[in-house]
Amino acid sequence: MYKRESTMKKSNVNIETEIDRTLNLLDEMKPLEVNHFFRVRLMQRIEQESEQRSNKLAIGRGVGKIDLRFAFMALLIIINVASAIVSLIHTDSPVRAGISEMLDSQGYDYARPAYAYYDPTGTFPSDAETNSNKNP
Amino acid sequence: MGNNKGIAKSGMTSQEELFRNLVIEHQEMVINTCYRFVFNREDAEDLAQEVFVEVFRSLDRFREEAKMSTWIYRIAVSKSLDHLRRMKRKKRFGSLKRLIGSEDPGEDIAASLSDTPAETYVGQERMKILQDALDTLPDSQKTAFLLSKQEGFSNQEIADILKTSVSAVESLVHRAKKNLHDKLYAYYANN
Repeated sequence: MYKRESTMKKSNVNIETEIDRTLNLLDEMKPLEVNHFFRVRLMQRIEQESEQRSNKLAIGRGVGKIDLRFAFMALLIIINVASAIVSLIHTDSPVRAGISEMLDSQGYDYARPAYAYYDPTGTFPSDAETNSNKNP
Repeated sequence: MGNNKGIAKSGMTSQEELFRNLVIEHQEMVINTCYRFVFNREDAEDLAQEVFVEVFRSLDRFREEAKMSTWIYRIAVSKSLDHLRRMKRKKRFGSLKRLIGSEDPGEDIAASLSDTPAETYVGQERMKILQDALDTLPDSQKTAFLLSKQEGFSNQEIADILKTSVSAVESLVHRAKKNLHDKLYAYYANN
């Protein structure tokens, strides 16, 4: 039992030693020296970013312009087409009405018995009636 | 950390010159702050670049509510924590890659801390164990603990970076040490 306790104590001591060694790694870490090119790379990156940003703005403005133009053109086309459709719809019905009225009136005029070339009852006019019509 | 009020308030220098001066003054501290989090020189330098790019973009919006240095280191901490989160997600994805056999063994090699291959191997193993233990800590404890281990940061400065009090920082450091101890104990007891 004494041996077991001492074995356990030794293993605990070993574990604590290992823990201390592991934690001490942080204290043993030597500070890094700054690479000579660190600032050079950084300033290059800053310059690239600034250029990209200014390019994006320019493209954005350009793209915005193009988009606006296309949008305006599309709007004009839509308005024109719509107004053409609307005007066709509205102008058709009065014309048709006029034409049909004309046809109706003419039909009515020419359908009267006075203008008929034939007697709808089936009798033909006599010669006397025809002559009297010729020589009133 | 120096007093930056003179630089911030100077109306004589252009923005680029002001930025250049900031970089010269803080680059070492920023790189080492990031290094404390990521344990890898290349990653630390890349992160430091991102920090300064962010500083450049946001320089107009800096309202001098805090010191310029506090603001810069706050960005450095934030970028480092974001990087660690990305690496964690990558690790999870890496286990899937391992399953399908497309993992690159060279991906996870950290920077060497010593000269001999044996020491390098042992050191890297121990470093990985430490990193895994640190990954289990909440961000606030991890940040307070790592900054406290870095020269150049007093508890007041850490409190300013974390926007908290000195006593809160001390409490965070204490809890971080206890949690790390427990994690490492469990690891070494089972291995």
